[in-house]
Amino acid sequence: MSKLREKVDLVTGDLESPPEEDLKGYVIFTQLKMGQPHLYAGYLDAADDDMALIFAREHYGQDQECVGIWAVPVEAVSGTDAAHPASHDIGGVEMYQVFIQARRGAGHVSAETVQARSPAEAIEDAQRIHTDPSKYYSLWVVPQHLIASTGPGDVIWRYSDQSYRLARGYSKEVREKWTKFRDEGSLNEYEKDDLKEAF
Amino acid sequence: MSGSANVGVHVDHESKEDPALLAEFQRKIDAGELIEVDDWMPAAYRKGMLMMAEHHANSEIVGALPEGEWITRAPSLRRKLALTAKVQDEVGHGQMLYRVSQDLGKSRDAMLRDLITGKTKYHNCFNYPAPQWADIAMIQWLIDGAAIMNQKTLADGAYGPYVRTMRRINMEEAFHFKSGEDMVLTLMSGTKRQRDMAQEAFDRWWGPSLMFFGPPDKPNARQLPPMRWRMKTVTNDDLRQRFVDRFIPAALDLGLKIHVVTKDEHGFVTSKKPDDKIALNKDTGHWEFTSPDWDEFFRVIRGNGPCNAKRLALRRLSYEQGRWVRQAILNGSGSLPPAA
Ligand SMILES: [Fe+2]
Ligand SMILES: [Fe+2]
Repeated sequence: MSKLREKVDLVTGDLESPPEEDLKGYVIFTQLKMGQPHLYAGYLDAADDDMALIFAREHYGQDQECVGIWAVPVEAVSGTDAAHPASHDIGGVEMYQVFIQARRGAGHVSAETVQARSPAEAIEDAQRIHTDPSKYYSLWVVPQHLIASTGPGDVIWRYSDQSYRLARGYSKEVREKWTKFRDEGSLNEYEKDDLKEAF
Repeated sequence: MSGSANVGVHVDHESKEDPALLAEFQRKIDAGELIEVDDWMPAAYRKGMLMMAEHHANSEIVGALPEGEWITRAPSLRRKLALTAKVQDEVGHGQMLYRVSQDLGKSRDAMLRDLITGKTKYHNCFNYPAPQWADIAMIQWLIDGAAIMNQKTLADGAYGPYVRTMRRINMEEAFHFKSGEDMVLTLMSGTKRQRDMAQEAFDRWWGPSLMFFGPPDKPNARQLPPMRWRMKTVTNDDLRQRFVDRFIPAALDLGLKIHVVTKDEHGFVTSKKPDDKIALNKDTGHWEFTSPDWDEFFRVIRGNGPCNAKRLALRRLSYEQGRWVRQAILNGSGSLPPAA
């Protein structure tokens, strides 16, 4: 630990730095295998697209093997849900990426792209493709050029041994060490309360 | 580590709400449906969930401070990698929980500032010192163990964004707990010096672990809004009992002794005696134990614990020092950091 941090001045009272605006919100999608859709992973705050992608690689890209990441500014999302009202303003023709939410509360998953002159038109187009409303809960559309993406050859998931950051990296050793202190029966009982990791 | 988000959440339920909307809201909750961010919710619910998520987020990032101190002093490369990953996880939990809170209506900057200036709280147990490596082992075994127990039940709650965050966080908590257990087992199968170090750390952390679940419940806890609205699903006392039922026998089997201790103002143990209440009650099937010192709990919550001032001062230092970085990335034009 640095000397500065070890002997930190115990300052109290008002802060010197003035209040700041929050950074921009981003929705992150991860792609687990080439050719597969991008799945909703979560949100993060970043100053710009580059920072969002760097942060997303560390925060959402190391959960499971992952080959691609999309970072979408929250403000670029229009949808059929109340939280993302869609603009009807007609502009030039643009490519929109469609995302489908299968059930209430589920994460959105990327689907096809549509061409449209406004977000509202893109939603109508998407609804023409997804005609059965019982098959999904909500739809999102995002202008494709606003999606920041990792490159095709980018290495995101680290292939080095990462067992040190997984519960299963300890299970065998822990069980072996316990046998010095406990019999099989009570050990099995104790392990029942363990939380199994699974994404 | 993680926050028990159930401490200090008092929901004002006097506010006047449309009875029809309120009834529909309660129906959804009773039917086990999840409430989503754009659903109607009582103002008191929004306020309570924000407080809970914000308190939890604060706890994640303050909890990383005592552990971060030990990264450079970890006893092996594998332990160093694990501790670095663990601290990174906790800060990540904080980032996700601040996001949940932001969607409920408070900016992240305002939350960080309120934390530093003491307007909001974080979990009490992070106001205690971690003077030895064995403290890191005990924190990961006991406190992360307690956090898992608590967060498993919070994942059965009703607020969708918080519930999904809990599920995700718990996967990482499983690693924190297992590696903590591995460290404790290593120490307790080691030399006398290692075992003594583990015992001393255990004496420091047993009390804060019992306090982790919050003070004893009011008799009508199940009827009050936090449980009626499934913001939490199990009472503090029930959670505490689950915790001791798992950890008392484990500690005893490992050869650890459970003490009732007194501490000085720095959080160090000044005297200890065996907790003679420790026994398995054959009739109830539950372990009995001496309750922690709740006066101490409230003293520490009010800001008078061993490390309150230091933790907040360190957060303040990071916030003030990081200002030029934030400005540089926001404006795209950086200037050099101020001379130290
Ligand atoms: Fe943790
Ligand atoms: Fe955590």
